[in-house]
Amino acid sequence: MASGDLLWSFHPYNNEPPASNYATLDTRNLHPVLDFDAATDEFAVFLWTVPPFYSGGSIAVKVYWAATSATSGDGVITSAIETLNAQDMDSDGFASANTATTTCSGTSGVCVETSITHTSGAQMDSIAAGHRSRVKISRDADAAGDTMSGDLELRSVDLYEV
Amino acid sequence: MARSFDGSNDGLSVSAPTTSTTITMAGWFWFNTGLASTFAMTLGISGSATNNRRYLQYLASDTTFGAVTVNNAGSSRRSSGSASGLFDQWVHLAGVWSGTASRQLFINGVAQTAESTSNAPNSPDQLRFGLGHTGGSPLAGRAAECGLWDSALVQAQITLLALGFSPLAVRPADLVGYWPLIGRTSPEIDVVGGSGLTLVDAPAVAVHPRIFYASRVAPAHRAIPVSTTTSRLALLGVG
Repeated sequence: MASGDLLWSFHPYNNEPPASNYATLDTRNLHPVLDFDAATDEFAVFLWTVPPFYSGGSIAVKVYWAATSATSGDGVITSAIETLNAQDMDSDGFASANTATTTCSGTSGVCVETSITHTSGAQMDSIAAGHRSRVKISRDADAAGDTMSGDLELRSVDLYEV
Repeated sequence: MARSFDGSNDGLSVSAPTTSTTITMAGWFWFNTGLASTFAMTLGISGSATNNRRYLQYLASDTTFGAVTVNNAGSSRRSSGSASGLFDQWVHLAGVWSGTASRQLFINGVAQTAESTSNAPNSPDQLRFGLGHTGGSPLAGRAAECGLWDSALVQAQITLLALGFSPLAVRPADLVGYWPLIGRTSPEIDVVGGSGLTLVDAPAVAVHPRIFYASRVAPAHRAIPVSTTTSRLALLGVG
């Protein structure tokens, strides 16, 4: 069964930050995290190789995060996927981003998980087993539904086939 | 996060990690508009007034950055470059001191004219960020991702640093101190040398610059489902 397979994991040090509006490195009790601003959309980009056992199903991008200080409110997170197969590296080719909203924990240091599903095909830029690919994560800080104050701290990102 | 200095008395300090005369000092620095002359990173002798130092600086009188050597007699030799237009933003500064013979400044990876007059400070005992060795010329700005090598990095290596790669990616065998300056620990951690920086007064935290870190990727390994005894034996190479 391919469904339920963990395809890849990203950690804060794996970030390949864009030239501007990048999520910034921080630590929390020595846990490396990426801080996403509360007012400006900021981005983190990660490179991975689609494993050979990927069977072409949907992919869930699971973002594990905590609030810097908030104990209430919602964080709106987006993910976008790009294949590097035949992609000119001088430009970006991400498919349109998908979005999900999650309420932060009542304890600011406790992580919650936001799962964003990309259906096979155009929603994941038609990646296939063996492709090099990038995943771009952002906080849609200026979205009406993003009501959480302060930074959002990303601890890890996992990709699952679903 | 990074470390922020108030331009009054904030700094970071530790015993000198090296007494080599051939060194490279580099880091990301932020200089606030309107600041006075200041020390960004200084390797010298504690309390030795204005003498016996190698340092990266901003000089307000001519709006330049400098990589400077001052000997025991107070004679100063400087490689410099314009700081115009480089305030209120992250700037990468690197200084390469090739023994006592020369020193060269790099601004955002661009080499400035080297200064090649022999000048030999006495052996250092202190490394400081944001303050001179007598507490003067404080930095109003920020610092992050600072490294100290006991060798002279070459242009290609300075270019890597200025592109945003962590000091760990550049000649790591000669990296005697690496301070990311995340701003969350006291002392500030030296990742490679164990020379943690003591906080002087109360430097604050600021947003970190854009850095690429060397890191191990984390691919998944698919578990092979084993549902029969025969399959288990086959995996073990039996039968």
